[in-house]
Amino acid sequence: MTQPEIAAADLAIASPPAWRAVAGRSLVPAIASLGLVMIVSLLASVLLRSFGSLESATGRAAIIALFSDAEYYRTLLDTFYFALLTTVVAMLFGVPIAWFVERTDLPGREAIRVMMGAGILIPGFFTAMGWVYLAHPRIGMLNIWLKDAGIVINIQTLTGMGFVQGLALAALAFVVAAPSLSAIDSTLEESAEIHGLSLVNRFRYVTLPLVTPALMASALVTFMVALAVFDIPAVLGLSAKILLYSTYVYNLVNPASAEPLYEIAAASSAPMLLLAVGLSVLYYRIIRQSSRYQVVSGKGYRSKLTPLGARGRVGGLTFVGLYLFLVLLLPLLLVAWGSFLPFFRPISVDALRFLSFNNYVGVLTPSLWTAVGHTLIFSVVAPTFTTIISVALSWVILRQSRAISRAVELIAFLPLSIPSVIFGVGAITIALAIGSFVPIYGSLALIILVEIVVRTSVATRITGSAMVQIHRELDEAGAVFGLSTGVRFTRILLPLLGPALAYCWLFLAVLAFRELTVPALLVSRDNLTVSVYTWGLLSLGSLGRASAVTILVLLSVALLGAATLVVGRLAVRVRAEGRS
Amino acid sequence: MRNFCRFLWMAAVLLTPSVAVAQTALDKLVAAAKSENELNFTSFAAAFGGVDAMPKLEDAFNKKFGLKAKLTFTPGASMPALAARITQEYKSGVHAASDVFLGNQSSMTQMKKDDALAEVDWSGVFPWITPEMEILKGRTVLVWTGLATMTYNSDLLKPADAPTKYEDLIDPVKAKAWAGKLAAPMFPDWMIELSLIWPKEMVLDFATKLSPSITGLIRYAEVDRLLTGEFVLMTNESDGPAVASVAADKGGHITAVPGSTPSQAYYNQLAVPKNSASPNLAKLFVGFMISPEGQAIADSIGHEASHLVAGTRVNKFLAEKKVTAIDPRLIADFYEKGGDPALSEQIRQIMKR
Repeated sequence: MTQPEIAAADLAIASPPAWRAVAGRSLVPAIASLGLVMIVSLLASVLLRSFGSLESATGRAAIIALFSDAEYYRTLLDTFYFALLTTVVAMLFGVPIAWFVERTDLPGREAIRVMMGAGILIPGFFTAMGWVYLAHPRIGMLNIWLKDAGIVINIQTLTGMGFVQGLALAALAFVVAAPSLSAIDSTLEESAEIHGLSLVNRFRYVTLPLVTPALMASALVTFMVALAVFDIPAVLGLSAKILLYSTYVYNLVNPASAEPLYEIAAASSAPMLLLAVGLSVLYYRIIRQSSRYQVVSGKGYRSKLTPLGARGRVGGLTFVGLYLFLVLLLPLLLVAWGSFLPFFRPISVDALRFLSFNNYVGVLTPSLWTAVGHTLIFSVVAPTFTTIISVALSWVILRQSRAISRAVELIAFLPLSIPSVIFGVGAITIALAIGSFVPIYGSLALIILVEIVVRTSVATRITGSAMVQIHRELDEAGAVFGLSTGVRFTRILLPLLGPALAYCWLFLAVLAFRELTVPALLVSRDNLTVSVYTWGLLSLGSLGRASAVTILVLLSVALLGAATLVVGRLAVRVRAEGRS
Repeated sequence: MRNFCRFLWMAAVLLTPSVAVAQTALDKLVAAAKSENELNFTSFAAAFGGVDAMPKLEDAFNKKFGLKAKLTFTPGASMPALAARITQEYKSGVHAASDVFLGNQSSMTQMKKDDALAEVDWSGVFPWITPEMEILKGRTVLVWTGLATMTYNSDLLKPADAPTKYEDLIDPVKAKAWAGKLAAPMFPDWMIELSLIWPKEMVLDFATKLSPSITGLIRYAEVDRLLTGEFVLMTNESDGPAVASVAADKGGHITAVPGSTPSQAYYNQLAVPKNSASPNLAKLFVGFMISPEGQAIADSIGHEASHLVAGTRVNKFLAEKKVTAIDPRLIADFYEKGGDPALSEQIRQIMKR
């Protein structure tokens, strides 16, 4: 018997009573079904709303009003170009960094992993504002420096926006690709090395083909997310009269004086739904032969790091350093600088006389503390439930019959390409309809539920791409020894998925922390979050105060992270001393 | 002299009952409000000075009416979005997201049409509210006049080169001074409302000539984007004098210039939704915000006050600049009649080019 078969046999001896076996058998499918019901309900409410007629202006059905707008088609074309460029840039940075961190002996890998996560913590509108101050054709510091050379860099173009968004989403590509890279059986790479393949060729002919589903998933997820992102297109695009899908929808639901056109906004989700279906089918075809990519098996599985050599380390550190400088350090520096100024001025000795702590004093209000409390709950509860549901969905997708898995896959993928504001509209419709007997309207629970639906697609990609690499034989061995589905799931699958789930949860927590559109649409006294509070300050024209809030929050998160690390190490030491 | 004394006596006799009635109505309202503990006010972040002003407003509100109510301010929602939401909530039978609603003319008119606003005899209950302040009689009270003006960064654009009226924006010679640096609001509603001052043809011609010269679209009150020099001139700011005051607080220099005569204006009003969870506190809050105490706080912190209250910045601005603002009734009538959908569509199409 192999090691996992022995373990499975041990578990089978201690098998649970009948009622627990039944519960175990039905628990995973039940959780998956719950997730599907949530997604379908919200999508249905959005689609139903899109067939509503317009009371004002034209009186035409929303869907007809949308498709007769020439600007909508131009916007869609621009959005595709933007999303494609974003994906290319994100993959060019995110995947190599994931490989360096997970498969090589590059120094400081833990720190890089943390910083990749920290980069996502900075709200996108700050990254965008940072790039405005850096590469705006008139006020950008780069352009001021390059003035004499006659060079002008303009970040406020579709290409510029795609570049900035790609840099920002490289962290997403990293998070989706990293778990799969970490799970590769190193014996395969070692065999290639023995046969004389160079580092580059080993990556090209061994590593890369093995992680193809994960990379495809990463690219697809990045592309779909880029179709719906809001903050960078809002800051860089709107001020240059460039509309993308998300800002087009934003204009519909946030008019200056007329009524919000929720119906047309809902109707705009229909083409995106079709696109999501198409991409989902494509994705399904890629992973249909998933057994080709299963790299974690029960027999002699081993994961070992590839030595880079001195030159490789320098190259790797330079590459990662450049990325972190562009995405993390530069915006953070500009945000920190801006937080001490009454209004933004380029970094200079002359500007030092304007620095003060006024913005920090001004933001410490009861509203901020309320928002911090809500954000903490939101950022813990939403990712936890999303991860649970996503694992269950991935399990159904990969372990059930083709017909069921295809349907589940399709549904789970749908929310990805639809701006979350559309789901907010659906949530309002449902919450008001059931408001008299389920008091969910205006509560924190409502935005948590919408967040779960919105993020399930991304989370399912992460958990699914990790799960696809775990060989079926482990599950089959458990079944042979009479273990119930639930026991096999919790005792065999989950421990192997540990790192991927930790990644997934952390990534979702960060996304929840900075989520703006749904909380802003559903904002009430009981669910005000830090991102909505910060966006409110920006709307006030208080860039300095908004920067101060961001710096305070990042400092708190950093302190919390450091404290957790210290406590964790102390606990390990105490445990070790206790044993000795 | 005897006649004058007789006149005074008669006036006193005649006025006493109405004052007494008003006092009684206000007393009753205060008594009813004492059973409500919290007033939930959701609005856009800058409303009446936002989070900075709320503790002061709460103290002064409680002091004025002898209450111990808690004022909870939630920043975030825009006026039209919140109006649509409250109406939807009213129709669904749930409490309003905000106990008191701050909205502009179009939002208020729509809510009135949807019958979502409580009917209150504002000038009958509060002695300091005049009928003129009730823009939608028995429903809304004007608390903040936003003078919609052009704004420019006077450190980067010399006043001599700056536009003095909207027509200058499309003057090819003058426009050279701000070429490539001109911002406009994301939505062309200001141009649609310009048709209340200019003939429609003139508005369409203006829009056609202006559209190609607009470099970027930004939201209202994005002061920093003018102060940093990203743009030097904004075609229309929802409350130009307020933005100029905010810029001055930050050490910058922004000048507000009315583009038309009379000047365009956003008449922002308070009303109580029918589904308010604390309707009595909400009514008192509306009355308080137009009182001298409420106006003083909103004016000093948020730079937002009514031109109908003496001594406010906007009141002084109009007097000093000898500017008249567009008649609020004109705008109210425009929206009550459903606006001008055909013109709106034409302008939207022109501005999209």
